[in-house]
Parts: sequence; C-alpha cells; structure tokens
Amino acid sequence: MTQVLLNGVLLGATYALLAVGYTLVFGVMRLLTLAHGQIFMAAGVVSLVITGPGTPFWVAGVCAVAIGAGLSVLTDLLCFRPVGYHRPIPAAVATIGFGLVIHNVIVQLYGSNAVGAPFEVPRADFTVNGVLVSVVQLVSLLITAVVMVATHLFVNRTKWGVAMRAFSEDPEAVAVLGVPTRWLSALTLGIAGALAGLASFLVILRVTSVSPSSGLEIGLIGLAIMTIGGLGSLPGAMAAGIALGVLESVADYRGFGFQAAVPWLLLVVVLLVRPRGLLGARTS
Amino acid sequence: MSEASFVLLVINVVAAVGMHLVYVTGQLNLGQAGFLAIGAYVTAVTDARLDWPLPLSLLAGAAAAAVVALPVAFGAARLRGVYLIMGTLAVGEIVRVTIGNLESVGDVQGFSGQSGIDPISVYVVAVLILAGALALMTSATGLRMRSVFDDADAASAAGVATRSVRVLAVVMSAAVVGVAGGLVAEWSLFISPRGFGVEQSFEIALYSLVGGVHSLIGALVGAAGITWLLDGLKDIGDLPFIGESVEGLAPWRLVIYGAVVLLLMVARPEGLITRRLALTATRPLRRGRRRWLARADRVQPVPATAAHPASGDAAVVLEVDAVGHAFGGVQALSGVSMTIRAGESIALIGANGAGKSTLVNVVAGLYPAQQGRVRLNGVEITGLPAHRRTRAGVARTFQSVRVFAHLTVEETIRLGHWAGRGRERESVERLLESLGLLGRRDALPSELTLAEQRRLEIGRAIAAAPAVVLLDEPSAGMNDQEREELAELIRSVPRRGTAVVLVDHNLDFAFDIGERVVVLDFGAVIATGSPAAVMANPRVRDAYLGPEAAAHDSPTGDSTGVPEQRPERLDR
Repeated sequence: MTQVLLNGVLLGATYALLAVGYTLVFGVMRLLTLAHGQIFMAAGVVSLVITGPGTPFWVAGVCAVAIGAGLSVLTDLLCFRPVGYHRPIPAAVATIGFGLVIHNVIVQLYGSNAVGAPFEVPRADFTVNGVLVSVVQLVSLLITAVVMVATHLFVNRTKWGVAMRAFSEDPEAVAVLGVPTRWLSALTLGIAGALAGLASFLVILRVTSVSPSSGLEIGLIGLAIMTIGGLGSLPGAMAAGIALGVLESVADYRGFGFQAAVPWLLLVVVLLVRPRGLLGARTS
Repeated sequence: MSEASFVLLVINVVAAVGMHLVYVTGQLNLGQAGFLAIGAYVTAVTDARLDWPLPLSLLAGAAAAAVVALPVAFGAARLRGVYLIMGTLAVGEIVRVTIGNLESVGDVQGFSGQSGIDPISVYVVAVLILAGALALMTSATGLRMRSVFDDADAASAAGVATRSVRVLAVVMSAAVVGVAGGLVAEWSLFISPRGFGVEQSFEIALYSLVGGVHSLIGALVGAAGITWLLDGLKDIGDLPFIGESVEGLAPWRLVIYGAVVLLLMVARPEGLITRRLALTATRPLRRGRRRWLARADRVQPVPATAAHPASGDAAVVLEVDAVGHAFGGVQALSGVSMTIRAGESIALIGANGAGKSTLVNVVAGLYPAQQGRVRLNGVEITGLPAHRRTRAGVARTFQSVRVFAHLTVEETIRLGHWAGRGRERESVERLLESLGLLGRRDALPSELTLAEQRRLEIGRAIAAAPAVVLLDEPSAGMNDQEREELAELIRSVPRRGTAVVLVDHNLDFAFDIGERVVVLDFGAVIATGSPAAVMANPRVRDAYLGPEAAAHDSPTGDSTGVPEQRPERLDR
C-alpha cells in the first residue's frame, strides 16, 4: 500500500505541474488555454525526436522545457493577443484550434504511435521496507517540489509576480502604472509552458515514452485539477494534483474499472459541495 | 459531397440545434457527447433487443438523455464560467467510462445489431427538430432563454425565472442531442464509447461557437461548415479544377480544421453569423410575424385605470416596513419605512452611500431583505425572488443601464410585456411609439444612444404594467434635452396606472417628477413630504447638501447630476 501511495504522489506531482500552468494563466489573465495538454505532449515528442542516442538524457529535459515554453508563448501570440484578452470564450476556442494544429502536425510528422526515449534512463533503485524507490523518481519529486515553491514565491514575493496578480484584477490599471503588459502575458504563458515541458520530461523518465494521442486527455485532467483546486489558486492546484494522483493510484491498485473516470467523479463531487472548487475565490 | 457525408452533416445539424438550445442561455455545455452516447445506446438497444419501431426507439433515446440531464441541469444551474464548462465535461466523461464498463452493451468493444435508417427518415427527423427549435426560439420561452445569456439579473428584473430557464435549456438540449445520438446509432450501425469522447463534445460545441451563438442559422452554418471540413476534405482530390493540385492536403485536414477555428475566432469572435447578420437575413420573416402578433395585440383593451392623478386617499400599493440591510459591518439600511399609493410619483433622494440603490435592490428582490417586510397591495412579497416580484407588479431599472446586448428593442419590450400576463397592458406597438423607439424596433442596444438605452430599459419595466416601477438614476449621464424627454416619459407612467419611485442625483429632475420626496441619510429616512417642505427641513439641508450648502439659501442645491461615487460591487 505504501508503494501505491508513493506512486500516487509521483503521478500527482506531474498532474500538479500541469495544473499549475493552467492556474497561472487563468490567475493572471482569466483565460483558459486549451492547447496546454498538446503542448505537454509536443514538448515530450519533439524533445525525444531531436535528441539522438548518445546525448545525455538531461538534454532532452532542457529541450522539453524550452519547447514547452516556446509553444506556450506562441499561444499568447497566435490566440490570446489577436483575439483580445477581454474575450474569454473566443480566446479559449482559438486555443482549441491551436491544440488541434499542434496535435495533428505532430501526428503527421512523427505518426500516431508512442515515441520511445533514445537514451538510457539511469536506473538506480533501492528498497526501503519492501517499497521500491527509484532515484529518478525521487529526484523528479524533489524537482517538482522546488519548482512549485519557486513558482509560489515568484508570484507572491517578486515585483513581476505582484504585477501578474494585479493584472488579473485590472489589466488597464497595470498598464497605466508602466508595467509592460505584453511581456507579462508572454512571461506567464512561458512559465506555464516550461512547467508543462518539465512535466512531460518527468513522465518520460518514468515510462520512457510519450504518445502523441495523450495530449488532450492529460490536458483535460490538468484542467480538472485546476478546477477542483479552485480557479487561480496555486496551493489548490498543487493539493488537488497530489490528491488525484493518489486516488487514481489507489483505484488502479484496487482494480476499480472506472479508473479513467476518477478525475471526473472527484470533480463532480467537489463542485456539488463547493461550486467554486476547494480553495477558489469569489470570481465570476 | 457523397450522400453518406451529407447524412452525417444533417445528423450533425441536429446535434448543433441541441447545442444551440443550451448555449443560447449562456451555458457552455462541454458534455454533449455524453447525451449523444445515451441517445445512441438507448435507441440502439431498444431497437436491436426489444424490436421497438424506429420512431419509438428515437424517442426513448431522447427521453433517456433528458432524464439523465435533469439532475445535471440542477447542478449546472449553480455553476458559472469555467466551473460549468468543466462540470459538464466531467459528466460527459463519466457517461463514456460508464458505458465502457457495461458488459451488457458490449463495453469498449461496441454495440451493433440495430435495424438501420434510410437517409430520407434522417432528413425528416432533422426537419421536424429544426421546425420545433425555430418555433421554440421565436416563442416567449425562447426569448426568455436568450435574455439569460446577456444578463441574468436584468432577466430576473424582466420577470424571467432564470434558474428554471437554465434547467429547461439543459434538458431540452440533451433530448435533441439524444435524438442526434439515436440517428448516429441507426445510420452507422455500430457504436462504441470511443465515438463519444471529449473530441466529440468539443466538435458539437464548436458548431455553435464557430457558426455563431445568437441564431439557429449560426448553428446550422457551423455544423455544416465543420462537417464539410472534416469529412468533405477527405475527398478533396475529387474537387473539380483544383482537386488534383491540392490532393496532398487531405491528410492535413485536421491541421486545416484547427487553423480555421483559430483564424475564425480572431476574425469573428462572435462566430460567422453575428446577431446583426441573422437579424438582417430574417427581416422579411419577422415582418410577417409582427403583422400576425399585432392582430393579437389589438384585441386587448387599452388600460383606462388610474387615469386620474393620485390623491391622498388612493390605495396603498407598496408598503416598505422597517427594512434593514447590512453589507458585512456596514449597515446600509436600517428601519426604512415608506408607503407608495396608486398613481403616485415619489422621489427618493440622499447623498452618496445613503442607501438608495440598496433600498431599490431590496424592494425589487435582488438582495434578500435581512430585516423588515415589503408588501404589495397588502400581500407580503418579502420572500419572493426578483422575477416573481416583477410578475406580481414591482418592476425596476438599474443604476447603470442593463439591457440585453443581443435582443432587439422590440424583443426587449416584448419580454417585459410577457412578464405582465394577466394584467391589462398597453400593446407593444403603442409602447414603442410612446418610448420614441418605434423606428428603432430592430436595433440592438449597441446601436442605440445612451438616452435611448435608458428609455428602452424603462420601457421593459413598464411594459408589464406593474403597480410600481423603481427607476434607479435614469437621468445619469444625460444632457438637458435628453433629460427633458425622459421627464416627459416618466410623467406619463402614473397615467398608465403605475406608481413611480425615482432615485436621482439631480435634484431639479427629482423635484420635477416627485410629488412627494423621501430623503435617506446613512440608511435611514430623515424626512418625507412635498419638495418644498423637505428642502425647508434643516436636517435635510444639513445632511444632504452639507453645512456649507445649507448656509446658502439655494432652494435646489446640487443640480449637476454628479454620478455616484460608491464602489460598484456593493451596489450589485
């Protein structure tokens, strides 16, 4: 059971990284980016394709983060900025279109089969009280924790973070105060995309491959986690991510046939009890 | 386009109509694939296993989808924005996974054995559904549904039961999408949970979003366009003239689809068919319908009640009894009492933050009364929600104009008119004329001046022939001429049998309209009486005009119409 819980926490950490991206974007711009899952997938696939055998595995990680950030900034340039930050629904729909483009370009270029890692993931496992712990997983968890805390501190303690939070309240007032808001939106999406790329890399380290068809589904799970945690709440997204990872892991272990529905059942239950998510603020 | 593609297109049009019925109330439902699946499986199973005749199977599918939608609708009515989108998406996924776990219908392997359907029957069903949807959307219910999209509070003020309308929309939408599912099951002869995933929900939502939310034509265009892109592009090589040269594009059609969606949102964020475009396209149809409705209107007698000015012994229509309301620690109203008699005009004045708008909101039912009672014609209405108060006879306008962005002038007045069912009302035509909006009947609010929008909002309120209308700062932001026209309109309201409570910052204007003046200060009534008597009251001059202004012997004081300075979030 401890093994199941540990696996759940690891899965949840990946989810949380993804959900934090949505949360950042929604928290700052009150916009949904529905291409996030496809960006997660594309970062993984492309990072594996461009790193041949022989390159150290961490190069793929750097590539994934860079590609994730780049594609995410493109979401801002191609979708949000042209449609307008004041039009939430058309902006979200535009990102659906962008997601379709990313997904199908990847499928056309690299096929729809899972792409395997060309490098050896260093295996160093040890057992503690019968629980198998891999060093890679441990490092993943550590990285996730550090990134989460850093994101939280960045948003709450730095000048740029304050500007981001102010932007979510009143974009015009922030612009009048002399903050370059164009950079602010790109920065926000860039960070979100980098986190998606990182999440993708960490998943690759665990399962050594990534499937082009996984983008939509995992993207929606990330979105569900943001909603469960409460829109715009970073701690909410982190907590909900871990909680869902553990729940799914337990459901899997118990042979629960509805495993694929676990995020959605959790979401429905939370929304019935708290229509604004676990830690959601009163925003419209 | 092949016949098979065309049948698919027609089925998708049915699904698009279903999506339109719910999104028109502002509820972006991303779980339609779930209802599609329920319709498909129930139709297929009743057909293949129970040998039900096809129409009955289709109806069973629709009914099953509607039944499942009912609890979903009540849950969804509590949710807004992203929470609603994700909640409905979750329902769709749960349905898909559930079906995938049902061994009796072939779980993830899929289900077959249905007897099938011919293209003509598909077209007949589609035409029936379209006709039904058209009838619904042009009816009172359709107008109420559309009003909720733009502004739920304003819709309540126009007598619309917003929650019921939302619930009804989800259920009707599910039934229609369920029929589309039944058609899918019968036409393709094989169904599996894979065909009812999130992609399908997205596609159905995109029909409305891309085609245009504010008209059935938009839904049609969206469904036809997207189906053609996805299915028709498969055979792009068969196109005459350009076919051969672009054949290589066929595998990229999903990329093209995505790019088209993106570019369309940039170019036309409201969708291809905007409300204005749909209005222009259907002008001849509406003209015919108007003639028909005008005949119905003419049967109603013109109200002759309360044509005489109110006297001191006219019946009390509205009684506000010791009403109190607090926002957190701020007591906005305490122990406010006042009575309004039939055909009377009362001006409610007070400094910024005196509680005028709060009083209007409590009387109209936007805020629940925390203390005290409100009675209309002797009947207590304190616990009633806003829309029931409007129907009972307390109508209102808002401090900042709140009209429906996608309803025409005439539709807005008609909505208000319907709220007064059971009372003698002026016909919509005559009311439009006296509002000076007859020539602008097909205009959308964005095409009106601020003064016209104000008159429209007042028209919506008085169209129901309420016993009392509460006008919250109607003259704000107007120039002198517009204000004079407005005064004339408001003076005509008591003659229609509706008492007026006017909140205004412009004292000249307030004293011009109000036969009696009620002065609020810090949430309490400090004076009541004729304009002259009230202004002579030293307490009023002290409180309202400030000690300095009171020192001057100006009888009217502030007449500049200074806008309210209170933060809006408290007032709403």
